[in-house]
Amino acid sequence: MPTANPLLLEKKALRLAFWIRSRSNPVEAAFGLGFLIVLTGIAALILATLARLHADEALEFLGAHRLPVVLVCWLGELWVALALCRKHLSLWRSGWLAPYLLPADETSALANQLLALVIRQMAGIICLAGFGWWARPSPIWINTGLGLGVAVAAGAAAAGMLTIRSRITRRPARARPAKRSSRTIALKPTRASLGSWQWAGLRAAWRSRASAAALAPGLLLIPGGEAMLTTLALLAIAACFAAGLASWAQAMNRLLVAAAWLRPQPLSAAQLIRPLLVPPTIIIVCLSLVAASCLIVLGTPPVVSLLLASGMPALALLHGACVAAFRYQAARITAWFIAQTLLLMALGQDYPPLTPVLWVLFMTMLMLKAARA
Amino acid sequence: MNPLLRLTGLCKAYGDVPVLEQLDLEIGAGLFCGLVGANGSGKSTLMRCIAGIEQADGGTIEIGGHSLQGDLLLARAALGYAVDVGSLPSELTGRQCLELVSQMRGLPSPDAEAFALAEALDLMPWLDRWVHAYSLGTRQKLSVVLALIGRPKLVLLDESLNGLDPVAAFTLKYYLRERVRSQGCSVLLATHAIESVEFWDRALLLDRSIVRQWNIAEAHISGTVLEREIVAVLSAGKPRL
Repeated sequence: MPTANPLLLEKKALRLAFWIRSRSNPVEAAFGLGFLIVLTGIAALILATLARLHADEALEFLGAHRLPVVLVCWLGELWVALALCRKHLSLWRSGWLAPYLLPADETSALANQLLALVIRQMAGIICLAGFGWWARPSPIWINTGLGLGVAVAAGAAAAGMLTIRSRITRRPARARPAKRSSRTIALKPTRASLGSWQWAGLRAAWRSRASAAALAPGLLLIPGGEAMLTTLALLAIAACFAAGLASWAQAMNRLLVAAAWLRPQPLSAAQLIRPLLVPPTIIIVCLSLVAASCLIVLGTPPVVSLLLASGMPALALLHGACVAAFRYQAARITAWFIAQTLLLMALGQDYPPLTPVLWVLFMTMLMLKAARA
Repeated sequence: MNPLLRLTGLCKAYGDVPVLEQLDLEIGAGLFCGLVGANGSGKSTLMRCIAGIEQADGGTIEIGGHSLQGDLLLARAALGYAVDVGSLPSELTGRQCLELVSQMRGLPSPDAEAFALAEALDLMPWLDRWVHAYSLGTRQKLSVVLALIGRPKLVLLDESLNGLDPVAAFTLKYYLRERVRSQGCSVLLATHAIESVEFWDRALLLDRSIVRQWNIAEAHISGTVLEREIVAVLSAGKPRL
C-alpha cells in the first residue's frame, strides 16, 4: 500500500497553517487580500492599455515569427523549470524531512511542483491571449497561445525528466547547501563603525560586479555612427538603474541585519539608521546624475532629465524609510512600499505638482515611525 | 538602594496564549541568578522583554533605576544581552563585531576584559575569521563576549551554555562568578543546566511568573537537590511517564 508523500503532506500542512493564521488575524489578512486585489486590478489596467495600443504590432510580429517565439518560450521554460527542480531538490535534501525521504517521494513532489508551475503559466498565457483577443480578435492569438502552452508543458516535462535522469545516474548523495554563504567584507581595523561596514559591503559588491566587464567585447556589436552614441547612452542608463537597484537592495538588507543584531545596544534610531542609509543614498544620487547626463545626451532637455532621474533616489529613499520604519517587522516593508509608490504614481498622473508633497508626507510619517520603533 | 533589575506586574501574551502573568522580581547588585523552568515556561520571552526586544503587554521594567519604557537608552546602557546566535552578522569577522559593539558602547576599541574572556574561551584563533564560518559553540562564545563589553551592570544570558564544550562552559561560569564578585554586576542566566547551580547565588523557577526562589549561597543546595525540588514543584515529584 503506498504511503503518503511527506513533502506533499508538508505543503498541505503549510497551507492549512496559513489559513489558520489568516483567520486569527483577520485585519491583516483583509489588508493583504485587498492589496492583492488592487495589484491585480492595476496589472489588468496596464495590460488592457498595452493591448489597446500595441495589439496590431503584436499580431504582425506573432504572424511573422510564431515558430521562433514558441522555441524561445520552450528554452526559457526549460531553464526556469530546471532551476526550480534544482532549488527544490536542494531544499529537500538539506531540510528537516531529508532523513525520511525516498527517491519516489522527491519524484512525485517534483512532478507536483512542475504541474503547479505549468498551470500558473498556462493561466498567464490564457490571460494574455484573452487581452489580445479583446483588443483585436484574431485566430493568431489562439494559435500562438496553443503553441506557447505546448512549449511550456514540453519544457517543464523535459526539465523534470532531465533532473530525474541525472539524479538517478550520477547525482551524488550529498546535496548542495540551499543557500550560498554570504559575501564577506573587510573593515579597516580599529575604525569599525556602522557607516564603514555599509561602505565596505557596497565596495565588495561592486568589486564582484566588476566581472561583468567580461561582457565588454559585446559592445563591439553596437552599430557605428550616431546610433552608437544613443545605444551607449541607453546601455549606461540601464546599467545605472541595475547597479543602483542591486546596491540599494544589499544596503537595506544590511540595515535589517544590523537592526536585529544591535537591537539590545543603547543606540537611538538615528544612530542606527543614519550611518547605514547615507552610503547607499550617495551611490544612488551619483548614479542618478550619470543617468541624467545620458538622458541629456539622448536629447532630453536638462530640467526634464534631472526630474526624470530624480525619481530613482526619491523612490529609493521612500523604500529606505519603509525599511527603517518596519525594521523589526520586515514582512510589512514590501506591501507598504508598493502601496505608497502606487499612490504616488496615481497622484502623479492627475496632479503632478502634488506628488512631491505626498512624498514628503510619506517620508515624514515613516521617519517618525522609524524613530519610535 | 534600588535593585539592579525590578519587574512589577509584568504580563506578556502571544495572541490569546499567556506567557508571563503578573511577574514580580527584584535582583540586587552582585548576584549570579539562574533562571530555570520547563520548555515554553517563558524564560526567553522574559529575557527578551527585559532587553526591550519584545514589548510587554503590561507591567514595568526598571534596569539600574531606569525605566525601560521611559529611558530606553539609559536602561540598555546598563544591560548586556547575549543576542541569539542567528542574529550575528555573517559577513563580518568576530573582531569586527567586537569593534562595532565597543563603539556602540562608547569605547574606542574592545576592552582588555573582552580579549581576556575570548582567550579563556579559546575564541582568539577565530576572531579574524568570518562569522559565517563559526560553529554554534563559537557563535555562542562570541555572543557572550559581545554582551559583556562595556561592563554592563546587568548581564542577560539566554541558554548561552548551549553548544559550548565542557571546558568553555566551565570557564564561562567561573568567569561570570568572578565578575559578579569583583565588579558587583549581576547575571541572569536562563538555562536547563542545573549542574551550574554551584556557581549561582539564587535560583529562580519560572512558570508564567516566578513560582519559587532558592537562596543557593546560604542554603548550600546541590544540583541534585535543586533538580528534585524543581521536579517536585512542576510535576508533583513524579516523572511524567
